[in-house]
Amino acid sequence: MHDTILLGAVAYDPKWSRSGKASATTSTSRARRSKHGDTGTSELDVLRALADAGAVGDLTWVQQQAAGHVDPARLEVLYTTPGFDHCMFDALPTLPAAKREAFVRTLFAMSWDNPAHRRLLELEGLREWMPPREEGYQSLIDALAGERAMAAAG
Amino acid sequence: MAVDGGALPLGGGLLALVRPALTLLEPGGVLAILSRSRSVADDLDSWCRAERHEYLGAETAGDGTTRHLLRRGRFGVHRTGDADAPLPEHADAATGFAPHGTVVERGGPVYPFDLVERDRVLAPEVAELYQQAVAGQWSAARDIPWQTIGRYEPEVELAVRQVMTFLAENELSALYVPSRFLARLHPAYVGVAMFLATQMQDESRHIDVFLRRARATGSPPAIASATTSRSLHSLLQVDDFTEAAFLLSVLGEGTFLDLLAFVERFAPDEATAELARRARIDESRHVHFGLAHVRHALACDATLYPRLEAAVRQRAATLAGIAGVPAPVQDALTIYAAGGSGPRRVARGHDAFRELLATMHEGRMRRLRSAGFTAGQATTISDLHTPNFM
Repeated sequence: MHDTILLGAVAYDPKWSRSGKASATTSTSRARRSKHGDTGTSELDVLRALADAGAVGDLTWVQQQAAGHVDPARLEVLYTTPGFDHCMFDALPTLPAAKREAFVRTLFAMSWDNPAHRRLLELEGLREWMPPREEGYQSLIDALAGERAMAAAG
Repeated sequence: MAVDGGALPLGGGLLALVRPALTLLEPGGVLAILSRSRSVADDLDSWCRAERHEYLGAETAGDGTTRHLLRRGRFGVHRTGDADAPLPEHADAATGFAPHGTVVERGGPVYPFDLVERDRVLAPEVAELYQQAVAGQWSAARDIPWQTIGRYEPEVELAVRQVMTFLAENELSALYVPSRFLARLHPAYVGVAMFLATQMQDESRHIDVFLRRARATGSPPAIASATTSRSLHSLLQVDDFTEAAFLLSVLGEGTFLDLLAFVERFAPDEATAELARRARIDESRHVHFGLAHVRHALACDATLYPRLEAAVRQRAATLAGIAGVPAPVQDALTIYAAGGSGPRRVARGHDAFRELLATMHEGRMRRLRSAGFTAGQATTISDLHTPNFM
């Protein structure tokens, strides 16, 4: 008998999805706050069995399991969403290309073997930076478009 | 390579089988995981992405068992290495406190160790000296027959108090000087750090017994002279490990061997003789360490002799113009050896003191020759040695 159930194994911040700003142009600070603010705490609350159900990102899910912080006898995965890249840097189209490229070059030059870089990578839960992929957001974009259409039809 | 995970979920112990197996594989190597857990496929896939391994997929292996395959990524340690590897000539400060012979994961910080060259720090005899030091520990409370201390003439009691205070003051420097180098030693050469720790423990015990003995008599306070302070201050300033080992352990503690033999020989009671005898045994181990260190360093570095002589000269310059041991110490040693204040006894005490100075010079010569110096070099250095003995 489980006293806690887990609804999803890939998370996005519920507030974030309700805000209607889940576009590819969300500002960097917004994206970071989404990851390290409410989401992080609520994910851990689910894993500590403080909630009866919740959504958890798969990175958090496997890393917390790997660290021995999850009791598999009390938690069960009920549903796993299709995967999506959950943390991307976004910028306004007005950002000069040279600045954008310099930023990307800097990120991709970071090394797990470098103690200074490693601290930052660990904070992001990463081993290395990867090129962004937006494909996983299509269902969300479609849903928002449908919601707007319904509102317009109101 | 394959591991059998049974029904273990990823977070229920499976990784304790998977992760060690992966450290045995080269990057690109494939690991098979047999599992009867339903959740493992999803979780392994996610875990592999997080760890930058590649989840290759699963196939049914019959009777409810699934065979998962994953390809090891380039991150993480690879359990090669040789626990019996010789100590490195140049130690890597980024290996931190990792014991020698371990597989050190990269990405740790660089430590502030700067004594990283084997031949500058590690003499072959050090491990044996450490074992001797551990076996030779003794207790100030248990091993000294304190009850044998009697009442003596006030002059003798003052002399005992002064001699013991002088010994304690010098031993304090011998406690502090090694401590300056211990934290600079790379842990690959931890044997040296461990020996220094025993040396510091020895000095702590000596300070304890000398001060106990000093306080056992009711004489007026002893004097700490400016000459002693200047001599020990110049010792504390030395930044080079070999120069410090030479000045402290070969010359200073070497000279103290003769001083402690003198204290034992003329001791007014068994307690004083015993504490001097025990301290001398410890000190002779420190001298042995200093000799081994300097002999090894001289053999590895032909430019060392002029550096050591320069260090002795530089130290002597800070004490230039001082003809002898501080007067309160000389007077105390004289009365101590005399065992009383009558003129005929004092004459014998004075002779014993002069004989002590000659013995100290001969002892230094012998030790310097043993460390590898020529007779001429040894004479030069012994003559330049501090009048404070340490």
